[in-house]
Amino acid sequence: MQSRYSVINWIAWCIAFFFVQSAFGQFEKEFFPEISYLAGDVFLVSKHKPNAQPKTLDKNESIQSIPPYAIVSSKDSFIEIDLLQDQSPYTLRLGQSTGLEIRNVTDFYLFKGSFLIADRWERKWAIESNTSKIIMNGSGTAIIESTPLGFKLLILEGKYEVESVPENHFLLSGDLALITGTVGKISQRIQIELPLLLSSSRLVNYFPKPLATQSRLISAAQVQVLRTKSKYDAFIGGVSEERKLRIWKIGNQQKNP
Amino acid sequence: MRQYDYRPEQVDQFRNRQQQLKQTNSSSRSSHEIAKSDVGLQRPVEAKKKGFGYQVGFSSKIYHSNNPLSTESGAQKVSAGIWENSVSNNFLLGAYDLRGATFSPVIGLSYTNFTHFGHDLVKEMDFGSLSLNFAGIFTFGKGWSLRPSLGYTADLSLEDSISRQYSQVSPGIALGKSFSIGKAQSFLEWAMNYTFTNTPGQIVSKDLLDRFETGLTWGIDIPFGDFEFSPFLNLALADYSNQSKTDFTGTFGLNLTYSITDWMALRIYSTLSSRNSSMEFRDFTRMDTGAGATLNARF
Repeated sequence: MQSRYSVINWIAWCIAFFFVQSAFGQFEKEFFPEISYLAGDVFLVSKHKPNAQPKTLDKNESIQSIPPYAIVSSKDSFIEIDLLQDQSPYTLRLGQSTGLEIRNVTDFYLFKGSFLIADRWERKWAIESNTSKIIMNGSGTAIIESTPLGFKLLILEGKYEVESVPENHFLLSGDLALITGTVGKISQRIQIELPLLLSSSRLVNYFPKPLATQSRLISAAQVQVLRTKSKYDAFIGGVSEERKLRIWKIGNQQKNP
Repeated sequence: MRQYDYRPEQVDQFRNRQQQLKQTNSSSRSSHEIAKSDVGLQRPVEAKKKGFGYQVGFSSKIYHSNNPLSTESGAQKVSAGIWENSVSNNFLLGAYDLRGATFSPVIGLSYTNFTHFGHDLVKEMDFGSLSLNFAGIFTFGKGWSLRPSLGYTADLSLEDSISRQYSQVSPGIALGKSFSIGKAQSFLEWAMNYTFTNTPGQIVSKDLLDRFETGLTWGIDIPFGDFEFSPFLNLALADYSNQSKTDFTGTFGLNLTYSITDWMALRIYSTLSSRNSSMEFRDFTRMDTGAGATLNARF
């Protein structure tokens, strides 16, 4: 009788071990992202060990730290990270002089700089800074840049729904919007010339491997070309401290709308 | 007797389609001679919601043909001049992002008038050609495109009262690839279609010219200043369903276009066509050389 119980006990332990192992394996895949490209000096600072020296990251290594941790890139440095390798992977690219805290797979805190997410699956994203935050749901390729008042959000392709504001806002391919204030107030959308943006963005072009969403980027740009009525002789710059978007007219004349 | 299955305006229709594809293929990876940033340059644009558009064009060309009746030899092989005037309307029924491909349905409606002069034999050959074409242009990455289409063409006699001399309905599909060679844009297209015909004046059978056609077209557009030099080559094979006949036709063309404005262009061109048929007395060689002007407006 006792031996029968010990066999059942043994099987139960095996099943428990299997589940724990699977869960840990999944955890490992989700939270130990792989660095697929790195140029320059990029560091990892773990929030669990705030007094530890920043860890210098290398190409092709997995990030073994448990979130939250921050990835910091120096001047002239770039990093590309692939997350969730086996299930629904997405790519995260950090531009130079960027500090990004990864709290979990889709929850970020942007200290400064810019980053790109390229994702073929629909997900809910939370992005926060010391001045603003945004929660958005959708799939696509987007660039987020820090501004003194929050973020500049550019949708390169895909569709996102901003959920952090009472009225739902949809952002589509080519849309630029500013997110400001602690509640994540969203500005009026501006359509940006995608072929120019795609060909001039280092977050798109600097990296040797094309994004998994490359074909979608091209089709979004082609559709925009066919739909374009006119192009303005101006370029959008940063955001001033007076909450104004800087627009540079070609000819170097500054205009504050 | 004119050869209904050799259509000189086909080359222009092909070039118009290429213009449409060229627009949809405007590369997102083209290099710009301006500084780069991490995020990228952000230029505001005004875009239509769905991309509905309309293009109207007028083209007039006058050319010399050494064989306007496309015959092998004999008394009908004469030289003459042809004045060709056409009005074309293209309705772009939106541009749709299929996330990885784009889809642009286009309806084209055109009328071309052919007026012959310079020889008594060709003076009665004047006719008008009405074309209605529907094409769905799928564009993929790396310059690939797929174009299913359905076209209807009717040749109308302009003598006394207007009557239909010939008509054809032609469903088809074409696979294309465009390349950039420096500033030049090259394309390769392989097309297949089946043509159902109706020739009311044909005694033996009205559908004698029903045929399966397949063709390969290569071309390159080389811009220099306000000019564009565009040579092209088309090789086509036609197998007739209601007669024991297979034709091989090769067409080589040189085209030099001078753009005066965005909407007005002048051009000179020369086209050499040659057909080799399995049926006797159906071979021909023809050379057309001329000049023309085009006006185009987009809305």
